[in-house]
Amino acid sequence: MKNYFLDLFRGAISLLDGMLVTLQALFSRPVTEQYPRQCAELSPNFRGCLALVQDTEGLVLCTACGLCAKTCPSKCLTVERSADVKRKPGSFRYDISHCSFCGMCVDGCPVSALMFKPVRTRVSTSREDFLLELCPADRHGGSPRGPALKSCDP
Amino acid sequence: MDSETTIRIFISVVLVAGFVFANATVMGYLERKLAGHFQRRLGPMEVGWHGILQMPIDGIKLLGKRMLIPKQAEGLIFRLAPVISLSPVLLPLMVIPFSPALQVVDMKVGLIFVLAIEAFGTIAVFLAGWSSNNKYAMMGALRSVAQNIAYEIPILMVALSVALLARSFSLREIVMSQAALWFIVLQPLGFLIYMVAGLSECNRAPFDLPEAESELTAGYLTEYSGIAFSLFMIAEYTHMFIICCLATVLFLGGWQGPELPWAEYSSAIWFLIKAYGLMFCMVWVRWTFPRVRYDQLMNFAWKYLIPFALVNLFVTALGVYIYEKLFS
Repeated sequence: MKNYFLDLFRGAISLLDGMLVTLQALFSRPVTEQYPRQCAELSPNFRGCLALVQDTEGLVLCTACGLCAKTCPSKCLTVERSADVKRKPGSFRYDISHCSFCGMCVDGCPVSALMFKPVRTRVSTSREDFLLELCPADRHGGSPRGPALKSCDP
Repeated sequence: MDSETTIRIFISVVLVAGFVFANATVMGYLERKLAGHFQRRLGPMEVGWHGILQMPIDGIKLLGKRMLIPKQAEGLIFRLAPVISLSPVLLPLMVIPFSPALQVVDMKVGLIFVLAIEAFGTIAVFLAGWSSNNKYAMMGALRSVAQNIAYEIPILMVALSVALLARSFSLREIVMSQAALWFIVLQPLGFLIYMVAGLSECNRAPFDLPEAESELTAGYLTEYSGIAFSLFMIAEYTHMFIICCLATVLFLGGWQGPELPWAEYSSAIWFLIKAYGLMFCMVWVRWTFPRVRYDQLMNFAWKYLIPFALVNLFVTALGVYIYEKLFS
């Protein structure tokens, strides 16, 4: 008999406790980000898009050894040596639609010339828009370049 | 019946029917919005300002859907069940006194009438579950019947305690007798029992076993689609509203509140504030507690609610008897 009332009392207290938790949630700010209009901040190590690392003068570190293209399980990288500059890439093509963002190219690069940039998923209606040229032809620098794609990054 | 009464009843039926649909729309929206905010989400945001047109749009969508009837189902009863579920919920609203003037008829046995008509909902659920010819639906219907039998008893006993205090079964007189003191002060335990059993009566979480999604897909609603489904949903929200109205009448002093101009009509505001406050609590409870297990549900009714309701009734009767001996 004692347990009967004790159970009831404890149960009631724990129920009130639970109701208090949800009431606090009701009056605190919603955590929802309404995606197309608002964007959550991306973590700096978010794997959004591959990019070539540049030195202070804006030159890419890449030596065009081609190891990244060999290790890539999705075969989405194509590296071609530059015709005029020694040990520099002439073109560094990256098919983001095939990329699984596994990071094996970044890990395997002997000169740490590859990195992931925290940019949001690209959206496009044409397949060609996902073929990116990471290395501009004129200078061996620059960032991921491609046709202007819709992105909600400011 | 003279023509004035006929016109009065006709107008009030139209008003009540309109109110039922408006209530379902508002409550549907509020429920989804509150559910969101209780979980720190936003709820509907896309249709109209802060998703305010979401429910009308959903209604139009459901109207446009075809009502599928399973081949093996009992066609006539399957079609009839949503109508049976919706039509009786209009009747209790006829006797509920929203304000001194806003009451269609004042029945001498209004309280019993409301509780009797409320029980019709169970029949509709059972018919829907049985005629669907679906195991989930059948299980949901069986659960609903057992649950409603168990939880109707404490509601009746608590209502009886209140009727003893007010010395009347007429809802208007129950409200009038609370002019000095609301019955929630005299019957706090009764109010608690009523609200718990009321939650179970309208099959709402944490007592929503007849439509437990994780166990029975949607219980008795499994085979329903389109407008039939929405009729069930409207009936559910109206049930909820009636349970809260009755709680307001029995415990929270009905339309009583600070004096307003044109109090004959405008005091309905107090009534609606109290009723919707209780509805908010129901939504709050739904989004706080997980569903109870079936044996817990039955144990709770038979081991806790019914004994406590019996004790409450006995103490009330004794109190009323002693009070009358002393002061008359």
